[in-house]
Amino acid sequence: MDPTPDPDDIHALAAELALGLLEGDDLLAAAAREVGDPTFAREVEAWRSRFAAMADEIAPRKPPADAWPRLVASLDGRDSVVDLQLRRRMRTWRALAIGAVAATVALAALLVWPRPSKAPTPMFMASLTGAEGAPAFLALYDPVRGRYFVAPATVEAKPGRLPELWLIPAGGRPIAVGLAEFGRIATMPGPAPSGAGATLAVSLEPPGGSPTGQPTGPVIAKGALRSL
Amino acid sequence: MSGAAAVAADGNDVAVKRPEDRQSLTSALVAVARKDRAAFRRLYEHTSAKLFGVCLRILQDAGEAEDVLQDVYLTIWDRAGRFDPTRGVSPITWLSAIARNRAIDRVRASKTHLSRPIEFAVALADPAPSPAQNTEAAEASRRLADCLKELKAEHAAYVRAAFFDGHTYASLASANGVPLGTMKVWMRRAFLRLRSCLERLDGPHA
Repeated sequence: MDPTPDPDDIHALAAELALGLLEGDDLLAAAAREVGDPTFAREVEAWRSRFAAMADEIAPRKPPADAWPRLVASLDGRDSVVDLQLRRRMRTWRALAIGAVAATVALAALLVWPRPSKAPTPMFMASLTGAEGAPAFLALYDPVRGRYFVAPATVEAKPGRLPELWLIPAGGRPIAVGLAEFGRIATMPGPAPSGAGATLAVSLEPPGGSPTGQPTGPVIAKGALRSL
Repeated sequence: MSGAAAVAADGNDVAVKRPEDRQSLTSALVAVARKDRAAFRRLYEHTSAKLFGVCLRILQDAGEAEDVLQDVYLTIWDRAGRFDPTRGVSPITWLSAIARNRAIDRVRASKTHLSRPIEFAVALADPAPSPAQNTEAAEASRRLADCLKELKAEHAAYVRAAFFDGHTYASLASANGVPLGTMKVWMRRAFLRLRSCLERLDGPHA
Protein backbone atom coordinates (compact mmCIF):
# COMPACT_ATOMS: atom_id res chain seq x y z
CA MET A 1 0.00 0.00 0.00
CA ASP A 2 1.27 3.45 -0.93
CA PRO A 3 2.58 5.13 2.25
CA THR A 4 1.51 8.62 1.15
CA PRO A 5 -1.76 8.14 -0.72
CA ASP A 6 -3.19 10.92 -2.84
CA PRO A 7 -6.08 12.57 -0.93
CA ASP A 8 -8.27 12.15 -4.02
CA ASP A 9 -7.60 8.41 -3.94
CA ILE A 10 -8.75 8.31 -0.33
CA HIS A 11 -12.02 10.12 -1.13
CA ALA A 12 -12.68 7.67 -3.93
CA LEU A 13 -11.75 4.71 -1.71
CA ALA A 14 -14.24 5.88 0.91
CA ALA A 15 -16.94 6.06 -1.77
CA GLU A 16 -16.01 2.61 -3.11
CA LEU A 17 -16.22 1.08 0.36
CA ALA A 18 -19.49 2.83 1.17
CA LEU A 19 -21.09 1.69 -2.07
CA GLY A 20 -19.86 -1.91 -1.81
CA LEU A 21 -17.74 -2.01 -4.94
CA LEU A 22 -14.71 -3.61 -3.30
CA GLU A 23 -13.91 -7.29 -2.87
CA GLY A 24 -11.19 -9.52 -1.48
CA ASP A 25 -7.88 -7.90 -0.57
CA ASP A 26 -9.05 -4.41 -1.53
CA LEU A 27 -12.08 -4.73 0.70
CA LEU A 28 -10.02 -5.99 3.61
CA ALA A 29 -7.54 -3.15 3.29
CA ALA A 30 -10.29 -0.52 3.08
CA ALA A 31 -12.31 -2.05 5.94
CA ALA A 32 -9.17 -2.17 8.07
CA ARG A 33 -8.51 1.47 7.28
CA GLU A 34 -12.05 2.36 8.25
CA VAL A 35 -11.56 0.79 11.63
CA GLY A 36 -8.10 2.25 12.28
CA ASP A 37 -8.43 5.75 10.80
CA PRO A 38 -11.22 7.93 12.27
CA THR A 39 -10.94 10.58 9.54
CA PHE A 40 -11.38 7.96 6.85
CA ALA A 41 -14.22 6.40 8.83
CA ARG A 42 -16.04 9.75 8.89
CA GLU A 43 -15.63 10.09 5.14
CA VAL A 44 -17.00 6.57 4.58
CA GLU A 45 -19.95 7.40 6.83
CA ALA A 46 -20.57 10.62 4.85
CA TRP A 47 -20.63 8.66 1.59
CA ARG A 48 -22.97 6.06 3.11
CA SER A 49 -25.40 8.84 4.02
CA ARG A 50 -25.15 10.39 0.56
CA PHE A 51 -25.77 7.10 -1.23
CA ALA A 52 -28.53 6.14 1.20
CA ALA A 53 -30.63 8.91 -0.36
CA MET A 54 -31.00 6.63 -3.41
CA ALA A 55 -33.24 4.42 -1.28
CA ASP A 56 -35.77 7.26 -1.06
CA GLU A 57 -37.08 6.50 -4.52
CA ILE A 58 -38.06 3.00 -3.40
CA ALA A 59 -41.80 2.84 -2.90
CA PRO A 60 -42.99 1.31 0.39
CA ARG A 61 -44.73 -2.05 -0.04
CA LYS A 62 -46.88 -3.82 2.51
CA PRO A 63 -45.36 -7.13 3.62
CA PRO A 64 -47.57 -10.24 3.76
CA ALA A 65 -49.81 -10.61 6.81
CA ASP A 66 -47.94 -13.64 8.10
CA ALA A 67 -44.63 -11.81 8.30
CA TRP A 68 -45.24 -10.40 11.76
CA PRO A 69 -46.50 -13.66 13.33
CA ARG A 70 -43.51 -15.42 11.80
CA LEU A 71 -41.23 -12.86 13.39
CA VAL A 72 -42.87 -13.22 16.78
CA ALA A 73 -42.52 -17.01 16.56
CA SER A 74 -38.79 -16.60 15.85
CA LEU A 75 -38.41 -14.26 18.80
CA ASP A 76 -40.24 -16.68 21.05
CA GLY A 77 -37.99 -19.51 19.97
CA ARG A 78 -34.80 -17.55 20.38
CA ASP A 79 -34.00 -18.21 23.95
CA SER A 80 -34.70 -21.93 23.96
CA VAL A 81 -31.79 -24.35 24.03
CA VAL A 82 -32.99 -26.05 20.86
CA ASP A 83 -33.06 -22.74 19.07
CA LEU A 84 -29.55 -21.92 20.26
CA GLN A 85 -28.28 -25.00 18.50
CA LEU A 86 -30.18 -24.03 15.37
CA ARG A 87 -28.75 -20.57 15.49
CA ARG A 88 -25.23 -21.92 15.86
CA ARG A 89 -25.75 -23.96 12.72
CA MET A 90 -27.29 -20.94 10.97
CA ARG A 91 -24.23 -18.90 11.85
CA THR A 92 -22.00 -21.55 10.36
CA TRP A 93 -24.16 -21.70 7.24
CA ARG A 94 -23.97 -17.93 6.94
CA ALA A 95 -20.23 -17.89 7.33
CA LEU A 96 -19.97 -20.44 4.56
CA ALA A 97 -22.67 -19.10 2.28
CA ILE A 98 -22.08 -15.40 2.40
CA GLY A 99 -18.41 -15.91 2.07
CA ALA A 100 -15.71 -13.43 1.59
CA VAL A 101 -17.54 -10.17 2.24
CA ALA A 102 -18.77 -11.06 5.71
CA ALA A 103 -15.44 -12.64 6.62
CA THR A 104 -13.56 -9.59 5.48
CA VAL A 105 -15.66 -7.13 7.38
CA ALA A 106 -15.67 -9.32 10.48
CA LEU A 107 -11.88 -9.55 10.39
CA ALA A 108 -11.53 -5.81 9.99
CA ALA A 109 -13.88 -5.26 12.91
CA LEU A 110 -11.47 -7.19 15.10
CA LEU A 111 -9.08 -4.34 14.72
CA VAL A 112 -11.16 -2.31 17.15
CA TRP A 113 -9.89 -4.53 19.96
CA PRO A 114 -7.66 -2.28 22.01
CA ARG A 115 -4.11 -2.53 20.72
CA PRO A 116 -1.33 -2.06 23.26
CA SER A 117 0.59 0.36 21.07
CA LYS A 118 -0.74 3.58 19.55
CA ALA A 119 1.96 3.87 16.89
CA PRO A 120 0.71 2.69 13.51
CA THR A 121 2.41 -0.64 12.99
CA PRO A 122 1.78 -2.37 9.71
CA MET A 123 -0.31 -5.51 9.84
CA PHE A 124 0.02 -8.41 7.48
CA MET A 125 -2.76 -10.06 5.58
CA ALA A 126 -3.21 -13.00 3.30
CA SER A 127 -6.05 -14.23 1.14
CA LEU A 128 -5.80 -18.02 1.20
CA THR A 129 -7.22 -19.58 -1.92
CA GLY A 130 -7.76 -23.19 -2.84
CA ALA A 131 -7.91 -24.99 -6.14
CA GLU A 132 -11.19 -23.27 -7.08
CA GLY A 133 -9.70 -19.82 -6.81
CA ALA A 134 -12.22 -18.28 -4.40
CA PRO A 135 -10.70 -17.27 -1.06
CA ALA A 136 -11.20 -20.09 1.45
CA PHE A 137 -9.81 -18.14 4.39
CA LEU A 138 -8.72 -14.60 5.07
CA ALA A 139 -5.96 -14.09 7.61
CA LEU A 140 -4.48 -11.14 9.45
CA TYR A 141 -1.31 -10.97 11.51
CA ASP A 142 -0.98 -8.19 14.09
CA PRO A 143 2.64 -7.79 15.19
CA VAL A 144 1.64 -5.61 18.15
CA ARG A 145 -0.54 -8.31 19.63
CA GLY A 146 1.57 -11.09 18.17
CA ARG A 147 -1.60 -12.80 16.98
CA TYR A 148 -3.09 -14.30 13.88
CA PHE A 149 -6.77 -13.88 13.07
CA VAL A 150 -8.28 -16.33 10.60
CA ALA A 151 -11.76 -15.94 9.13
CA PRO A 152 -13.46 -18.57 6.97
CA ALA A 153 -14.62 -17.20 3.65
CA THR A 154 -15.85 -19.71 1.07
CA VAL A 155 -14.99 -23.11 2.48
CA GLU A 156 -16.90 -26.26 3.37
CA ALA A 157 -16.42 -27.89 6.73
CA LYS A 158 -14.89 -31.37 6.50
CA PRO A 159 -16.34 -33.72 9.12
CA GLY A 160 -13.75 -35.01 11.54
CA ARG A 161 -11.10 -32.59 10.33
CA LEU A 162 -9.92 -29.20 11.51
CA PRO A 163 -8.19 -26.46 9.54
CA GLU A 164 -4.65 -25.85 10.81
CA LEU A 165 -2.72 -22.71 9.96
CA TRP A 166 0.94 -22.84 8.90
CA LEU A 167 3.47 -20.06 8.33
CA ILE A 168 5.87 -20.92 5.52
CA PRO A 169 8.92 -18.64 5.27
CA ALA A 170 10.24 -18.18 1.73
CA GLY A 171 12.15 -21.34 0.87
CA GLY A 172 11.57 -22.78 4.35
CA ARG A 173 9.55 -25.49 6.07
CA PRO A 174 6.05 -24.93 7.44
CA ILE A 175 5.84 -23.67 11.02
CA ALA A 176 2.71 -24.66 12.94
CA VAL A 177 0.71 -21.63 14.05
CA GLY A 178 -2.51 -23.13 15.39
CA LEU A 179 -5.97 -24.51 14.75
CA ALA A 180 -8.54 -22.34 12.98
CA GLU A 181 -12.27 -23.02 12.56
CA PHE A 182 -14.56 -23.63 9.58
CA GLY A 183 -17.48 -21.77 11.06
CA ARG A 184 -16.09 -18.65 12.69
CA ILE A 185 -13.08 -16.43 13.24
CA ALA A 186 -10.24 -17.99 15.20
CA THR A 187 -7.30 -16.26 16.78
CA MET A 188 -4.03 -17.63 18.04
CA PRO A 189 -0.65 -16.25 19.07
CA GLY A 190 2.02 -16.87 16.47
CA PRO A 191 5.43 -15.95 15.12
CA ALA A 192 5.80 -12.90 12.90
CA PRO A 193 6.42 -13.56 9.24
CA SER A 194 10.16 -12.96 8.90
CA GLY A 195 11.35 -11.62 5.61
CA ALA A 196 9.58 -11.16 2.33
CA GLY A 197 7.84 -13.93 0.45
CA ALA A 198 6.31 -15.70 3.46
CA THR A 199 3.07 -17.53 2.85
CA LEU A 200 0.29 -18.89 5.00
CA ALA A 201 -1.34 -22.24 4.35
CA VAL A 202 -4.18 -24.27 5.79
CA SER A 203 -4.13 -28.06 5.93
CA LEU A 204 -6.77 -30.51 7.10
CA GLU A 205 -5.70 -32.17 10.33
CA PRO A 206 -7.25 -34.52 12.89
CA PRO A 207 -8.77 -33.05 16.09
CA GLY A 208 -5.97 -31.63 18.17
CA GLY A 209 -3.96 -30.67 15.09
CA SER A 210 -1.08 -32.33 13.34
CA PRO A 211 0.71 -34.77 15.67
CA THR A 212 4.00 -34.48 13.81
CA GLY A 213 4.73 -30.74 13.70
CA GLN A 214 4.38 -30.74 9.92
CA PRO A 215 1.21 -30.88 7.81
CA THR A 216 -0.14 -34.44 7.63
CA GLY A 217 -3.31 -33.72 5.66
CA PRO A 218 -3.97 -32.00 2.33
CA VAL A 219 -3.20 -28.28 2.02
CA ILE A 220 -6.55 -26.81 1.05
CA ALA A 221 -5.62 -23.14 0.76
CA LYS A 222 -2.53 -20.99 0.46
CA GLY A 223 -1.72 -17.32 0.07
CA ALA A 224 1.15 -14.87 0.19
CA LEU A 225 1.39 -12.47 3.11
CA ARG A 226 1.52 -8.79 2.35
CA SER A 227 1.66 -5.81 4.61
CA LEU A 228 -1.39 -3.59 5.08
CA MET B 1 -47.80 6.79 -1.88
CA SER B 2 -49.22 7.31 1.54
CA GLY B 3 -48.10 4.01 3.00
CA ALA B 4 -51.16 3.85 5.21
CA ALA B 5 -53.33 0.75 5.32
CA ALA B 6 -56.56 -0.07 7.11
CA VAL B 7 -56.20 -1.44 10.60
CA ALA B 8 -57.62 -4.95 10.61
CA ALA B 9 -60.36 -5.84 13.02
CA ASP B 10 -58.44 -8.94 14.05
CA GLY B 11 -55.91 -7.94 16.73
CA ASN B 12 -53.33 -10.33 15.29
CA ASP B 13 -52.95 -8.25 12.18
CA VAL B 14 -50.43 -5.49 12.29
CA ALA B 15 -51.38 -2.19 10.78
CA VAL B 16 -48.94 -0.81 8.26
CA LYS B 17 -48.72 2.82 9.13
CA ARG B 18 -47.13 5.96 7.85
CA PRO B 19 -43.52 6.49 8.82
CA GLU B 20 -43.22 8.21 12.16
CA ASP B 21 -40.99 11.10 12.97
CA ARG B 22 -37.35 10.73 13.88
CA GLN B 23 -37.89 11.13 17.60
CA SER B 24 -40.59 8.46 17.87
CA LEU B 25 -38.51 5.99 15.88
CA THR B 26 -35.45 6.74 17.99
CA SER B 27 -37.29 6.10 21.23
CA ALA B 28 -38.79 2.92 19.77
CA LEU B 29 -35.28 1.71 18.90
CA VAL B 30 -34.01 2.53 22.36
CA ALA B 31 -36.86 0.48 23.83
CA VAL B 32 -36.24 -2.40 21.43
CA ALA B 33 -32.64 -2.45 22.69
CA ARG B 34 -34.14 -3.29 26.07
CA LYS B 35 -36.11 -6.11 24.36
CA ASP B 36 -39.42 -4.27 24.63
CA ARG B 37 -41.77 -6.29 22.40
CA ALA B 38 -44.47 -3.63 22.23
CA ALA B 39 -41.91 -1.12 20.98
CA PHE B 40 -40.67 -3.67 18.44
CA ARG B 41 -44.21 -4.06 17.14
CA ARG B 42 -44.58 -0.28 16.88
CA LEU B 43 -41.27 -0.09 15.04
CA TYR B 44 -42.42 -2.85 12.67
CA GLU B 45 -45.74 -1.12 12.02
CA HIS B 46 -44.03 2.12 11.09
CA THR B 47 -41.07 0.82 9.10
CA SER B 48 -41.93 -2.56 7.60
CA ALA B 49 -43.46 -1.15 4.42
CA LYS B 50 -40.33 0.84 3.71
CA LEU B 51 -37.96 -2.03 4.51
CA PHE B 52 -40.03 -4.57 2.58
CA GLY B 53 -39.95 -2.17 -0.35
CA VAL B 54 -36.16 -2.07 -0.13
CA CYS B 55 -35.94 -5.89 -0.02
CA LEU B 56 -38.31 -6.26 -2.97
CA ARG B 57 -36.47 -3.71 -5.06
CA ILE B 58 -33.12 -5.36 -4.48
CA LEU B 59 -34.19 -9.01 -4.62
CA GLN B 60 -36.98 -8.65 -7.21
CA ASP B 61 -38.60 -11.80 -5.84
CA ALA B 62 -41.40 -11.78 -3.29
CA GLY B 63 -40.42 -15.06 -1.60
CA GLU B 64 -36.80 -14.02 -1.17
CA ALA B 65 -37.85 -10.58 0.01
CA GLU B 66 -40.11 -12.12 2.67
CA ASP B 67 -37.30 -14.33 3.97
CA VAL B 68 -34.82 -11.47 4.03
CA LEU B 69 -37.36 -9.24 5.79
CA GLN B 70 -37.43 -11.79 8.64
CA ASP B 71 -33.66 -11.71 8.78
CA VAL B 72 -33.68 -7.90 8.75
CA TYR B 73 -36.02 -7.53 11.70
CA LEU B 74 -34.21 -10.20 13.70
CA THR B 75 -31.03 -8.26 13.03
CA ILE B 76 -32.74 -5.07 14.19
CA TRP B 77 -33.92 -6.89 17.32
CA ASP B 78 -30.35 -7.93 18.06
CA ARG B 79 -28.64 -4.70 17.13
CA ALA B 80 -31.06 -1.95 18.18
CA GLY B 81 -28.65 -1.08 20.97
CA ARG B 82 -26.04 -0.10 18.41
CA PHE B 83 -28.08 2.75 16.97
CA ASP B 84 -26.46 5.97 18.11
CA PRO B 85 -28.82 8.96 17.82
CA THR B 86 -25.95 11.36 18.49
CA ARG B 87 -24.21 10.41 15.23
CA GLY B 88 -26.68 12.31 13.08
CA VAL B 89 -27.94 9.31 11.09
CA SER B 90 -31.73 9.18 11.00
CA PRO B 91 -33.33 5.99 12.34
CA ILE B 92 -35.04 5.15 9.04
CA THR B 93 -31.75 5.56 7.17
CA TRP B 94 -30.04 3.24 9.66
CA LEU B 95 -32.83 0.69 9.34
CA SER B 96 -32.89 0.92 5.54
CA ALA B 97 -29.14 0.31 5.49
CA ILE B 98 -29.60 -2.90 7.47
CA ALA B 99 -32.30 -3.98 5.02
CA ARG B 100 -30.14 -3.14 2.03
CA ASN B 101 -27.08 -4.92 3.43
CA ARG B 102 -29.01 -8.09 4.16
CA ALA B 103 -30.70 -8.03 0.77
CA ILE B 104 -27.40 -7.42 -1.03
CA ASP B 105 -25.79 -10.32 0.89
CA ARG B 106 -28.57 -12.58 -0.34
CA VAL B 107 -28.36 -11.31 -3.92
CA ARG B 108 -24.61 -11.88 -3.98
CA ALA B 109 -24.94 -15.38 -2.53
CA SER B 110 -27.31 -16.32 -5.31
CA LYS B 111 -25.46 -14.30 -7.99
CA THR B 112 -28.72 -13.31 -9.66
CA HIS B 113 -27.54 -9.71 -9.90
CA LEU B 114 -24.92 -10.68 -12.45
CA SER B 115 -27.55 -11.34 -15.09
CA ARG B 116 -29.62 -8.22 -14.50
CA PRO B 117 -29.41 -5.59 -17.22
CA ILE B 118 -27.78 -2.33 -16.17
CA GLU B 119 -30.45 0.35 -16.37
CA PHE B 120 -28.94 2.92 -18.66
CA ALA B 121 -32.19 4.53 -19.60
CA VAL B 122 -33.40 5.31 -16.10
CA ALA B 123 -35.03 8.70 -16.02
CA LEU B 124 -33.43 10.28 -12.99
CA ALA B 125 -36.72 11.79 -11.92
CA ASP B 126 -37.02 13.58 -8.63
CA PRO B 127 -38.05 11.17 -5.87
CA ALA B 128 -41.80 11.30 -5.26
CA PRO B 129 -42.35 13.65 -2.35
CA SER B 130 -43.78 11.89 0.68
CA PRO B 131 -45.83 13.91 3.12
CA ALA B 132 -44.10 12.35 6.11
CA GLN B 133 -40.60 12.83 4.81
CA ASN B 134 -38.70 15.59 6.52
CA THR B 135 -37.17 18.42 4.50
CA GLU B 136 -33.61 17.45 5.27
CA ALA B 137 -34.03 14.00 3.73
CA ALA B 138 -35.87 15.43 0.71
CA GLU B 139 -33.04 17.90 0.12
CA ALA B 140 -30.41 15.17 0.39
CA SER B 141 -32.28 13.11 -2.20
CA ARG B 142 -32.55 16.06 -4.55
CA ARG B 143 -28.86 16.93 -4.18
CA LEU B 144 -27.78 13.40 -4.99
CA ALA B 145 -30.21 13.10 -7.91
CA ASP B 146 -28.98 16.42 -9.36
CA CYS B 147 -25.35 15.49 -8.97
CA LEU B 148 -25.85 12.03 -10.47
CA LYS B 149 -27.32 13.78 -13.52
CA GLU B 150 -24.03 15.62 -13.94
CA LEU B 151 -22.19 12.35 -14.48
CA LYS B 152 -22.06 10.50 -17.78
CA ALA B 153 -25.23 8.45 -18.01
CA GLU B 154 -23.31 5.15 -17.97
CA HIS B 155 -21.38 6.12 -14.86
CA ALA B 156 -24.53 7.16 -12.99
CA ALA B 157 -26.04 3.82 -14.04
CA TYR B 158 -23.06 1.96 -12.58
CA VAL B 159 -23.47 3.79 -9.26
CA ARG B 160 -27.12 2.78 -9.20
CA ALA B 161 -26.25 -0.80 -10.19
CA ALA B 162 -23.88 -1.03 -7.24
CA PHE B 163 -26.48 0.35 -4.84
CA PHE B 164 -29.55 -1.54 -6.02
CA ASP B 165 -28.10 -4.74 -7.42
CA GLY B 166 -25.03 -5.36 -5.30
CA HIS B 167 -22.54 -5.08 -8.14
CA THR B 168 -18.83 -4.92 -7.37
CA TYR B 169 -16.08 -3.57 -9.60
CA ALA B 170 -15.43 -7.06 -10.91
CA SER B 171 -19.06 -7.84 -11.72
CA LEU B 172 -19.67 -4.38 -13.23
CA ALA B 173 -16.61 -4.72 -15.43
CA SER B 174 -17.50 -8.18 -16.64
CA ALA B 175 -21.22 -7.39 -17.10
CA ASN B 176 -20.32 -4.46 -19.33
CA GLY B 177 -17.32 -5.85 -21.18
CA VAL B 178 -15.07 -3.18 -19.70
CA PRO B 179 -11.57 -3.95 -18.37
CA LEU B 180 -11.49 -3.92 -14.56
CA GLY B 181 -8.83 -1.20 -14.47
CA THR B 182 -10.85 1.03 -16.79
CA MET B 183 -14.00 0.62 -14.69
CA LYS B 184 -12.05 1.65 -11.59
CA VAL B 185 -10.61 4.74 -13.27
CA TRP B 186 -14.06 5.80 -14.53
CA MET B 187 -15.76 5.30 -11.19
CA ARG B 188 -13.05 7.04 -9.18
CA ARG B 189 -13.36 10.07 -11.44
CA ALA B 190 -17.14 9.88 -11.08
CA PHE B 191 -16.87 9.86 -7.28
CA LEU B 192 -14.62 12.90 -7.28
CA ARG B 193 -17.07 14.73 -9.55
CA LEU B 194 -19.96 13.68 -7.30
CA ARG B 195 -18.10 14.94 -4.28
CA SER B 196 -17.34 18.36 -5.83
CA CYS B 197 -20.92 18.71 -6.99
CA LEU B 198 -22.36 17.81 -3.58
CA GLU B 199 -20.00 20.22 -1.82
CA ARG B 200 -20.89 22.95 -4.29
CA LEU B 201 -24.61 22.47 -3.66
CA ASP B 202 -24.42 22.43 0.07
CA GLY B 203 -20.97 23.11 1.46
CA PRO B 204 -18.29 20.69 2.67
CA HIS B 205 -20.63 18.59 4.81
CA ALA B 206 -23.01 17.72 1.99
